[in-house]
Amino acid sequence: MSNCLLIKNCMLTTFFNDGYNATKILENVDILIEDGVIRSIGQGLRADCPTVDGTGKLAAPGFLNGRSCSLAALVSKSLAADIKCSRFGGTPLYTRVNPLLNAAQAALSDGELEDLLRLALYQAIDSGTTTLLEHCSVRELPIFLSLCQSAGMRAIVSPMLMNRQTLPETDLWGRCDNALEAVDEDGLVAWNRGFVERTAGQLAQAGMGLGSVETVSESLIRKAAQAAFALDCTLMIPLNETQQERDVCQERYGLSPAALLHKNHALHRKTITGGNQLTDRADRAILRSGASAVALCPVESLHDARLAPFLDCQYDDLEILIGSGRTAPDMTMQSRALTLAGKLERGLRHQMRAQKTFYAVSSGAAKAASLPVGELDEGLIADLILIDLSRPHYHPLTMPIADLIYNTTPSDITEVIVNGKLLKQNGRVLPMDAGDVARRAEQAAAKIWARARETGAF
Amino acid sequence: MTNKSLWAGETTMAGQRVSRIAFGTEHLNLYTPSLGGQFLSDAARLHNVFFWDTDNCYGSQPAVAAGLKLQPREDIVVTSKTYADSREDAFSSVHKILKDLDTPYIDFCLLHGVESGKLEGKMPALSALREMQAQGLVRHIGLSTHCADVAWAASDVEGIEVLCVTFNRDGSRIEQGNLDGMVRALDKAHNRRGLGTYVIKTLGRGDLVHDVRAALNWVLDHHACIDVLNIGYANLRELRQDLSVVNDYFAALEEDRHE
Repeated sequence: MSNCLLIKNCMLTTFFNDGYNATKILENVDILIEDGVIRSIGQGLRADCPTVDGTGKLAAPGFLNGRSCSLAALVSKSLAADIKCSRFGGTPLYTRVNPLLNAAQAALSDGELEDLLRLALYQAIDSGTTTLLEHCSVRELPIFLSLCQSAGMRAIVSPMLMNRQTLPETDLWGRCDNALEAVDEDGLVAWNRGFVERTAGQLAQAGMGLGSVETVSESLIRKAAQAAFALDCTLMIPLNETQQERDVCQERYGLSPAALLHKNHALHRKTITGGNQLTDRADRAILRSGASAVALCPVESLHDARLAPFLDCQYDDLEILIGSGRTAPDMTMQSRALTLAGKLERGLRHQMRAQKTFYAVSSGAAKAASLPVGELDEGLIADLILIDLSRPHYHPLTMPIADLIYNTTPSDITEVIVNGKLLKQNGRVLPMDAGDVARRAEQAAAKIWARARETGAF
Repeated sequence: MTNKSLWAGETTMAGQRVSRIAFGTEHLNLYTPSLGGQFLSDAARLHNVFFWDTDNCYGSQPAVAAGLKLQPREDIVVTSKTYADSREDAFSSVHKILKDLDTPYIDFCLLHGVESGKLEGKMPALSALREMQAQGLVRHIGLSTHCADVAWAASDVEGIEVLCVTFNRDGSRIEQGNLDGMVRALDKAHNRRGLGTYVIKTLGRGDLVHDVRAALNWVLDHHACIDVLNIGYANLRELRQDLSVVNDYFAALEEDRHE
């Protein structure tokens, strides 16, 4: 049989119905995958095709990363993690992250950018991500799309269209350069539309996207939103990531960022707002009225000494995705952080459970992103991971979903399958070589550090 | 560890011997099925809770299947449910239940979560259930609902032997109607039509756990029209807590009778 894969004798867990309570766990089952789709789940299945021994392994839906900012994560994750930025609104975005991103854009060739982004993709596959919603610069979009296409990763890649050439930075005294510049808005939107149309229906496709509201004009918001609506495609917009964003929006328009997006018709059912760590009750009501989804970044929020408002969003009935934002795209770490931080959100340990997180990174995220993935059943798309439960830290094994969320690290994930194709097998990421990826990324990063030293970003 | 105060009483519901408490299995979907099955088996063996309630949307059927393998099948009573409207869906739903539970029959099959205004639309599914009852695949047929108007109407439908409704002190999770309506519907079903009755959401799906004893006692005060309390458990400790409340209630009732 062509394009076929048989997984023998594994344990399987998945959501299978509406709501975060409807999980099931099956023991000793085989999974037959054909042409990217799960054909059957049962016992004693046979097929003349490559076989993965699932004995002692747990099959689960792959993680959906609802917001990754890969380049920002790579260039700043350690450098920005612990810095003091109280004078700059409590965020390293304008003092460390954006300056390094601007340095990267100035210093790197397309090939060098590709070398860095390949490392991000490697990390995503290695840690069990099977769908990646990447929000990147205009220049990165074609590079990242092509990397995902050739690796076989499911992705929606959206650019940050802006009325600026560079990302806003803050000077030593906390003054931020927020000026909007004249850009060819129609040209930018048409360029983005072109990518969406050319990649529609492909495994890795483009979405429409905008920068945060302090970097865009109202007319650009409207144009991008109209295009996304007409194309029925994802529209990714950062929202309420920093106080600076809220303050500029208030000064410039007398509105909150959510209200500004609403006024300009940018909130619809395929809009995914990213970040949201400062999203409040009034914002949630606006988002709910537009049926828009929220992507929360729990580790990023924790680094900023905040809690991602997961329970607030859940109780207000918003569609939720979990993303890595500008931190490492390791969804095992994001899941664990979300669950533990969620217990602090209301000070009640039982209100945030592993099961809720599992829903938010699989079935719930897929529904929020309107993607036909996130669950394992016959007739559904075969995006899944296998976790090696034979490792001592899983034992005694009683509650697999709790173990999946609390105890899993990337090295426990032995197989990653996207659209029926193995991207990781026996613990090795197949589309790329680990050593080569790391070496080339280091070479590219060295050029960024050099540039950053020259410009004073360090 | 058998202890009289933690040994469930028995009753008959639609002519079927059942434990007075049913083990609602929804929360067992988090455990490995083999461990969930052991919990159920222990509930029967140690506490005489041999009536287990599941559904093919709960994800707990693998645990119930594992539990059924640990006890003689005829000693256990199982309810499962179907959302089917059509005959075809009812047939496929019941066959899936039997396959998932790996059992030749289920004791009760309920038309599940029937909403207001939808009862008439369930008649094709009911006729299929009656056909499967004749074939021995389903022993008794029932209906579950959160709506007081549906509960009232259900006991007039031929073929419905059991009514399962949302019932708790605060009227929490009752839709279309109120608590009084539910009391009247239970009374009509149990005392005027002779149906079996069992109640769910007795703790309001967690809303009343701060006051378990009072919440259960309130439900038990309506025992004249209720056969069984179906309560969801994530472990045996929770079951033992509720069992002690239920047994205390009936022991006090017995004492009052003697006085």
